[in-house]
Amino acid sequence: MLVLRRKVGETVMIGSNIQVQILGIDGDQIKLGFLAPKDVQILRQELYEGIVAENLAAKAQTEHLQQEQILNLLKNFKG
Amino acid sequence: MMQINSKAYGILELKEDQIYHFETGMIGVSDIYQYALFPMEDTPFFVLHGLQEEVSFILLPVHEAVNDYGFRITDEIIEDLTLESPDDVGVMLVVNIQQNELFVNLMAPVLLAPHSQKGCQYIIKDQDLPIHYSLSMKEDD
Repeated sequence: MLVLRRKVGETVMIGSNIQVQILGIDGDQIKLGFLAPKDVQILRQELYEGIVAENLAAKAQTEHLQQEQILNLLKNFKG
Repeated sequence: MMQINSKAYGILELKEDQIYHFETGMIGVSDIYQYALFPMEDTPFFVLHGLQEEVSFILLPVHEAVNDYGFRITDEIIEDLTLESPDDVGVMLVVNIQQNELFVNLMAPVLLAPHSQKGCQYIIKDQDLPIHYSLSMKEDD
């Protein structure tokens, strides 16, 4: 991991077209500003990890699909 | 027409228009870019099944899950899925079954574009949507 120290207002470049700026500090919270091309996804890590975990759980359940219970659950769902 | 042999679903006969290309795959599931979409018989659900892999997801069309669900179709999405118009896309939710309860991921829907046969899982960032939303509210009885 690369560790840099920055003061409020200073910026870090990632590659040639991603910028991260320290916008402010409020107690233990740091406000960051991001400039990046549209195709670069910027997301709070816990959010991304949460979606990965949810997908993996959803993917794993198909092994249990043979169970009558689950099939019935889906058949009985009313939209 | 093509055929895939699925451990979970058996032998599946699929038409060209049931195959979708996911440029960046499903989130957290690397190396799988081709999926087949087919309805799950006797249910409103669909299956998104990896073409070469024994990987699949259960999907539910968004209108079957919730009302008042909306998000901006960004230029990025239009470009990535080569949409002809913002209406040119189908929205489905990944279903998670836990303890006989159905949950859907409202924050990261699966977008499917029938004209370009492209798909993606899109993360909605400008709304506070749940990743694990229970459908039990919706069931009648």
